[in-house]
Amino acid sequence: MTTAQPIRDGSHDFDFFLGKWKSHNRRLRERLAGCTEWDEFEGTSEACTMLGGEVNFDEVVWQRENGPVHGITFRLYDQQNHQWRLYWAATGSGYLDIPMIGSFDEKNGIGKFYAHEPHNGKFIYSRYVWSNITPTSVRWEQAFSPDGGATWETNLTTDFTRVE
Amino acid sequence: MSLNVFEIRNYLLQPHMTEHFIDYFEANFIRTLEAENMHVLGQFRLIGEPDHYVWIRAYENMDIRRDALFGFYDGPVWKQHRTTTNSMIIDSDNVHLLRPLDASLDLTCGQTSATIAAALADASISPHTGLIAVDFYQAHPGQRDDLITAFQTELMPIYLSEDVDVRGSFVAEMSQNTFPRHPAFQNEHEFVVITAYESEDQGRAIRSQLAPTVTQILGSYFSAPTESLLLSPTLRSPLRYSSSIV
Repeated sequence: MTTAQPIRDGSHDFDFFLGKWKSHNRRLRERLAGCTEWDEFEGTSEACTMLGGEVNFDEVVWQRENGPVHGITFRLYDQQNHQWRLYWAATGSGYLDIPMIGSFDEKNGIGKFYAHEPHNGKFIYSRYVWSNITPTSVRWEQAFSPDGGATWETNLTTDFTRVE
Repeated sequence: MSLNVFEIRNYLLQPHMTEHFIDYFEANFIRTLEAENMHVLGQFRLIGEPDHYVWIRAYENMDIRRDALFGFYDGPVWKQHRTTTNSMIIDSDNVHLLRPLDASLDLTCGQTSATIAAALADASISPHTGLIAVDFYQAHPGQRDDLITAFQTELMPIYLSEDVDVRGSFVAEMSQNTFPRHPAFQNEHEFVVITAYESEDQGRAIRSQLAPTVTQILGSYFSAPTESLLLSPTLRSPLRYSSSIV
């Protein structure tokens, strides 16, 4: 039998992201195809909180080559299970996809969030990582794994700098 | 209706997939399973083992079980969802096939997946689902019934006086598993007890306090160390500590 571990209240774990940010973004042109060419573009984000901290919400605008792309992330904290669910939707997507689910590691402050999704006819894992959190900057990455999490290919990165 | 066949199903999932599995299972399978005469009585996270999912399924009898399983696993819902489901599972063969000692057993205090869903829809049931423990006792050959007698006559009064909520006790269902696609443990020397506690802390405390008493009363019958599952019921689990409507 395992011993009880004190469970940390993580309901304020995304408070660092409240406010306005500018971002520099890099996007891998092709995913899980051995591609090493990246597109780069600028963006802005603004995040707020709801439900007394249990919800964190942001909207991002990416200045892509073909024009601006808007996306939102709705983050909901599960008080019973101490996990965050991150729901993403972009302009034109028309529905909320399954959430990325995970939490922050209190030892290193890194947040990892996982989902599984079909990709070219089979299921792969996807992962978000929030790291290098300071009062004025933070890094976000998205990666895919075709082999059950043994190896990961990063395909989208964002370096945020606080505006206000 | 009396339920006479129970399965305690302990799945090993792919890393980080437990929460997704719970969401997917509860959204896509519970209603269909219930429609095929399968009763989903409990869904759980396994405390200390984050990549496990445990659930309890029950049937009226073995004939209904056979027909229900063929109906479901050869049917359209499983066909539609099996690829996604199986992509999240490493091992689904850890299953105990059981029958209750008392056929009038009410493991869930009258709750079903439907009553829980209705109560959740209007926020009228507590999200605090407490702790469920499943103890798998293994008796020396020929001593299982003596173990059960000792449990009922000597340990039960202590559990009652200490407010340990015994929800059910089971032995192996030994008739042939008529759905061989799904293997199951059918161990004739096994005795299984399910108890409920207000919280993980309260459950761990009382179980630690009573552990020497359990060993003193039952220990001489044991052929192996007792395996215990400490379970955290999901929000939609009918088997939970408190089913009281707020």
